[in-house]
Amino acid sequence: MTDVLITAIFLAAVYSLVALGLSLTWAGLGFLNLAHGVTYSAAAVGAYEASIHIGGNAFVVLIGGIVSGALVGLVIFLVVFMPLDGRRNFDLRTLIATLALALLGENLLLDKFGPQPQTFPEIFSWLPTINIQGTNVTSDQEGAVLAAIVLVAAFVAFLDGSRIGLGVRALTQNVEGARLVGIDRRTAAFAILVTSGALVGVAAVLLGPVYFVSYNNGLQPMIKGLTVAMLGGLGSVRGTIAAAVIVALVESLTATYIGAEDVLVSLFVLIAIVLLVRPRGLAGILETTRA
Amino acid sequence: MRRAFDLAFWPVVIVLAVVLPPLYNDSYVMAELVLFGIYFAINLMWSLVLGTAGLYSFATLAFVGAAAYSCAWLSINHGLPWWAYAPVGIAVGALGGLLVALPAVRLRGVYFALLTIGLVEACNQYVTGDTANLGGAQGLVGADSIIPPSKQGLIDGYYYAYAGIGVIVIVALLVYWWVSSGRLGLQLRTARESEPVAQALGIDIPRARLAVFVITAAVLGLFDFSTLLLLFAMIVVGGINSPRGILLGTALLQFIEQHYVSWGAPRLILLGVIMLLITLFTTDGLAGIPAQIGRLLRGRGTPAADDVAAATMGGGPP
Repeated sequence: MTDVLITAIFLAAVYSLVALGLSLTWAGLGFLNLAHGVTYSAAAVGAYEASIHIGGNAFVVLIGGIVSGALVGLVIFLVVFMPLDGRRNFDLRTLIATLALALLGENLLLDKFGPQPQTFPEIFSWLPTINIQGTNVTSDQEGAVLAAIVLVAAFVAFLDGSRIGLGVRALTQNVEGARLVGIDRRTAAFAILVTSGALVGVAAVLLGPVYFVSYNNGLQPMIKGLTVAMLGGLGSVRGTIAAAVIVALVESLTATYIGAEDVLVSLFVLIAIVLLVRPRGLAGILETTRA
Repeated sequence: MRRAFDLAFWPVVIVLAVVLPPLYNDSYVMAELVLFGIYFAINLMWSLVLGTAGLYSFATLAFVGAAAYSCAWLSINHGLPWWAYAPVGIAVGALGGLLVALPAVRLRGVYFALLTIGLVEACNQYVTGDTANLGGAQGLVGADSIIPPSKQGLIDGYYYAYAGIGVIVIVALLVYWWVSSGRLGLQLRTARESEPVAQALGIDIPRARLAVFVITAAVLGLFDFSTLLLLFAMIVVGGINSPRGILLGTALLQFIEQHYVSWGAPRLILLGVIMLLITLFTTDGLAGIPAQIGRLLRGRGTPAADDVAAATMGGGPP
């Protein structure tokens, strides 16, 4: 049981990093970023390349993931958001355009990186392993949880404290109102897309030892991220973090007691039940967000 | 000129469909044509959900997969003959559609997309994980087929498959026109444009959406995220709102995908770029370009009456 909980905490930390970007992109900008998965893959590849060419320590690899993730976020901002902002059918066309980017990016990675999955360097091996009631917590898990907590806290501080963060929060509450008080949608979009790219880049580095590095392994984390974002209520930071804990717990319970191939099935059942009862997810229980 | 083209389009397609196979008489071309028929039928039904109803559902492929796997499994383990695939597939598809639609039709826009993407991937993972019953990533081999065993792998065999898929495509086209030009299509389009108006008119929106789900899933009766993306690209490139656009998009993208296999990944990058450009610069895919140019020439930026699946998706700038 302890190992189930430890895995759950590890997964929850990583999933909240993946889901926060998706959630804010939807709530603040009104579009569903389906290129989030390919951002993950690109960041994993970027971090891997950084570890090969620059150095294998935690700092370099994390920066490699963050920079490559943020760069893909910038591409999404330039190629999807800027041309389509304010145009007709914005929501459908951004959905299609991000899917197109996913198709394009995945095959670009396949072409440049090759089909062979690569093992990710162990970047947290300098942390001591601790033992909780007979179960060893690996240094990777420790490092991932610590890094995720620091980054999520920094992200929340950015949202709460900075002027741009204030604009983003205003946009998630009321688009028209935000425009009336002079909040620039483009600045907010730039901030949201680049930071969500950077956050998913960190997630790619932290999950690297579990999923390996490959051109197409971003799909699974994206689907988990979507599940978390939906369960948490899109746009709600606290809801997203709570949902990440629930999803991670269901996943590690299912994987341990039923079977790894049933994880997505049980998550799907969970989501279907929750959405039947609460179509807006957990948001509203924890805080007020835009419907 | 345009009227003549409109009138001639489908007769020309039918003539081509009959004339092309004996003209080439080549098993590679036949295999491509059969695949084209399968893609076209799936895309037609999917675009009813995406375009006419304006629901961002990715579940369509899961229904195809569920029906195909059920039939193949029954055939291998219980000797189900190929001619019984149709009723079994229709039943499985309709049941699957009903099960997914019941919770899903109550959701709006993006939640629908999220839920159904998750469903497709869950099915995919379940099937590839279950090597004992469903053959895992290898799939199921040895199911009874419309192609008689003696003709398997021969050019004659492909004609059987071609005839079979021909029937399915015709059924799909008839269902498309029946749904889209009938009462149900009208209700769905109204609900897509404005849910309050539809409600005021007394349209039972969940019921109408449920109906389109069950009907399309029942008609369809190989899936992973890449196939899903490819089929989605076909619909989008061609134009979501017309069978003609879907035919063009399916033909064009399948040609690029299959003909340039030797290019490897770059051909799919090309597909991604095409899809992106079409999305950024057209309002209704390739099929909508003539109308779009017409509007530009007349200097009017007014939206077409039946535009790309309009704003049912909740949220976004109002």
